[in-house]
Amino acid sequence: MEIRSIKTPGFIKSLFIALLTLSVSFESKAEDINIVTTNTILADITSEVTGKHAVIYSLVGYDEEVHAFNPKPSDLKKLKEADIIIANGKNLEGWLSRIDDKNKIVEASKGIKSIKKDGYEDPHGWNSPYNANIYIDNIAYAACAKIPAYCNEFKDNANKYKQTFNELTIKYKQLYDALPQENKKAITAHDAFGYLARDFEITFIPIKGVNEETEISAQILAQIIKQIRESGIKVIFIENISNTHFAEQLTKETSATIGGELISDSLSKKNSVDTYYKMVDYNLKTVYEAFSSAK
Amino acid sequence: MLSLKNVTVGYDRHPIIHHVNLSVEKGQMVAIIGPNGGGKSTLLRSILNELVPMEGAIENSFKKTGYIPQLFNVNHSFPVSVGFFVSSALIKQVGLFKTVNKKLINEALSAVKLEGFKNKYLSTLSGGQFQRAQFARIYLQKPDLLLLDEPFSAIDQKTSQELINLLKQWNNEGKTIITVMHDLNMVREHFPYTVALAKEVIACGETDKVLTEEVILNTFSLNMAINPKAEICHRKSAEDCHTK
Amino acid sequence: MYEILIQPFVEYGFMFKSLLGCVLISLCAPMLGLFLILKKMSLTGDAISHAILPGVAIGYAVAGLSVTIMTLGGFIAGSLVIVLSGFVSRYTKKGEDSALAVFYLISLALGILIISLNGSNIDLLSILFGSLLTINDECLILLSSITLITIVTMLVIRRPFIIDCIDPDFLIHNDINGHHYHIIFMILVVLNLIAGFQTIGTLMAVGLLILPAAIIRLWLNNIVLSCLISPLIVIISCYCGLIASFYYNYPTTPIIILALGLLYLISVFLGTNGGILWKYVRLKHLDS
Repeated sequence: MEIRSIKTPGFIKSLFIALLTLSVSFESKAEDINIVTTNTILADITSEVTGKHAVIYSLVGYDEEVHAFNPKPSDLKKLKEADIIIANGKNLEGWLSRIDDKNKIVEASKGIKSIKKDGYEDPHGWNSPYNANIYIDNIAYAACAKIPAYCNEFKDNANKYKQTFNELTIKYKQLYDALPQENKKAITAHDAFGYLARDFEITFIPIKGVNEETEISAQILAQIIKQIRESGIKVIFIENISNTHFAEQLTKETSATIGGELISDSLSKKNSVDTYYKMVDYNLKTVYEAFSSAK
Repeated sequence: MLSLKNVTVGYDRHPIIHHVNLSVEKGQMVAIIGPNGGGKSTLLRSILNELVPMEGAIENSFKKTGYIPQLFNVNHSFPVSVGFFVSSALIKQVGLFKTVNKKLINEALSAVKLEGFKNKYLSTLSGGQFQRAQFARIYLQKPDLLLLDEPFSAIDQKTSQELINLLKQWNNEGKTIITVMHDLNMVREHFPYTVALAKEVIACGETDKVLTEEVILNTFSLNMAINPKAEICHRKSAEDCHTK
Repeated sequence: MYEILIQPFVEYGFMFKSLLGCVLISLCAPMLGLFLILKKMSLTGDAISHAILPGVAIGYAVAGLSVTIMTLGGFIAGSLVIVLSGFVSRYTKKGEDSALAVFYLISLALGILIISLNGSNIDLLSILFGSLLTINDECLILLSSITLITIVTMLVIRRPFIIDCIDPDFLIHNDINGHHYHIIFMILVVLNLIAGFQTIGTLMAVGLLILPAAIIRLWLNNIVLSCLISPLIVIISCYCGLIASFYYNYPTTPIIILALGLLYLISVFLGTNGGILWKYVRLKHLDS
C-alpha cells in the first residue's frame, strides 16, 4: 500500500502542485479506514500492519523535518477526515494539542520505557529495533479496535513484522557486543539515537539538544571539540535532515571523521531507505561499520 | 541661439505655457518675469529638455547649458565639502579617476567670494553662501547659456548685488543669460531684455518697453489656475517674440 | 592574559575562522551602511534581506547545499528586486520606498511558498540564515571576494555616486545617468547581504551593515574617516561577542548585535557629532 504524502520532492513538480489540488486516489473499498500518520515511519509500520485495509496519509513526507512541523489548513482537513490519527507521542507532535477529535489519536510509542533528558522525554523511540515491537503492537491494537473484522489479519501481519525486527535485533546485538567499548562512541547531529544508544550500549553525543531552535554558543562548541579530542571519539554521524556544517567543522578540528549519514526522523528517498525496517537496518549497519573500521 | 516655436508644455492636456514663440540671441541677458504658476520654471525646464513640449519645437544651439534651479533637490546634509560640491562641475572632464585641478576650484570660489570655504561642509552654509557655491559650480562648468530660476530670492542684499555683478561680468564675456526674476527693480537695473510670461508671452523686448504699467498689470492679474472644464484651445500661434 | 584573550582563537579553529569572517565583513559592510544611512535608506537592508529569499531557495532546490549556487540565486533575486523597484519608481514617479516595499514583499512571499513546497525542511532555513561559528573555507573565500569587489567598485564609482547622492538632477543635466551608479551601489549592498547571510545570518548581516555606520555617524562627519574607523568598531564588537560566547555560553550572534547596540546607546549620549550630552555642556565659544 503506497503512502500518500502531499509534498513531493522535485521543485518543478511542486510548483504545479501548488496550482492544482493534489489528489491521488487509490482503489479503496467502502470498509477501508482512513488513517493519517504524523510521519513516514509511522505510516510505513501502519501499512505493514493493516495491509490493504487502510488508506494511509503521512503529514510529514520523506526527508522532511518532524520537529518543526506546522500543519497547514489542508493538513487539518486530512486530520478531520481521518478515522485514526497515529502519532508518536512523547511531545514530538506538540501541535496536536491544538486539534479537535483528540480521541482519534493513537500514541504509538506508549509503553516504551522513556529516556528523560533535561526534563524532556526523548521521543525518538523508533530508532531502536527493541522498541519496534511496541510501536507495532500499539498500531495493531488501534486498527483492531476500529475494524474488528480484520483483527486476525492485523495481528498476523504484526507478528510477522515483529519477527523481522527480532531477527534484526539478535543479529546486530551479537555484532555490537563483539566490539570493544571504546570503539562504540560517536557524535550525532541531533539527539535522535538515545534509545539505540541505550539498547546497544553505545555512547552518542549529540551536537545540539533535542530542541532545534536554539543557537549554539562558542563555549558549547568548544566543549564538544574538547570532548572529542580528549575522549578520542573517531566517528561523527550526519543525518539526512541536518546541516552538515557542524559536522564538517568538527572533522577539521579533531581527528574524527564522518562515519556516514544516518536516517533519523524521516524515511528517505536517498539511499533507498524508504521503509522502517530498511531504515533501522541501514542505521545499525552504518554505525557498526563505522565503529569497526575506526582506529 | 535659442528658439522656441509655438511651444506648448503642460500636463494632462492642460497647458502651463502655450503658444510660446521666443528667440534669444547669443550674448543677451534676458529676464523672465511673471506671476507664480505662470510657467517661468516650466519654460526653463523645457529649454533644458527636462520637459517635452506637447506642441511646438525648441532649438538650442548653444554648446553647453548651465542651470541653477529654484528649488534645490540637493541633499545638504550629506557630509561633503564645498570644494567637492563645486568640483562636481568638472565630472565630465575628470571622469572617474583624473585628479581635479585645485587651482580651478580656488579660482571659482574666489570669484564668488567663498575663499576659505573649500573644506567646509555643505550643511554649514547659509542660504546665501550656498547660492554662491552654486554660482561657483556654474562658473567652473563654463557654459555658453546660463539658465537661472529666481537665484536671488531669499538671499541677502549684499550677496544679490555681488552675484548679479558676476552675472553681468559673464555676460560681458559673451555668455548668454536667461534668468527668472521676481524683483522688478533689479530687472530694470540690470537686464536689457525682458520677457513677461503668464502662461503665454504677454510682452517681450527691451526692458523699458516691456516693463510698463499696463504690461505689468496684465501679466500679474491673470488667473493661473488650471481650469478643469477648459475646452480645446483654438488660438493660433502668437506673435513672434525676439529679444532684439 | 594571553591565555584568556588569545588562546581560544589558537586552540579552536572555529573561533579563528569566525573572527576572520567578521574582519572580512567589517572592511566593507559599514561603508555601505554609511551611505545607506546618508541616503536615508537605512531600512533597505532589512527589505533586501527578505527579498533575497526566493533566489536562495531556488538555488537550494536546484543544486542542494551549494554555497555558490545559493549565493547566485540570492544575488539574482535581490538584484531583480532592486532594479525593478528603481525602474518602477523612476517611471511612475511614485517613490522608491514604496516600490521597494512592494517588491520585497512579493519576493518574500514567493520565497516562503517555494520553501514550503519543497518540504518543511528546517535545514534549509538554518543554512540560509547561516551560522557564524561554523563558517567554512568556502564561505571565507566568498567573503574575501565580495569584500574586494565592494572596495574596488566603491573606489571607482565614488565621484559620480556621491554627486548623485547630493544632487541627482545635476548629473542628469550633464548627460550622466546617475541612477546607474545608485544601482551599482545597491547591487553591492545585495552582494554583501548575501555574504552576511551565509556567514552570520540575516539579523547580523543587516546589523553589521547599519549599526557600525549609525555609531560612527554620532562621532564623525567625515566620510573617509568613518569608512576607515568603522571596521574597528565591528572587529572589536565581534571579538568581544566571541569571547563572551566562549566563556559565558551566550549564543554568539545576538551578543555581537547587542554589543553594537550598547555602543550605539553610549554614542547617542556621548558622541561628539550630535550626542545628547554635548547639548548640555557649555564650552567657551571661539572668537571666530
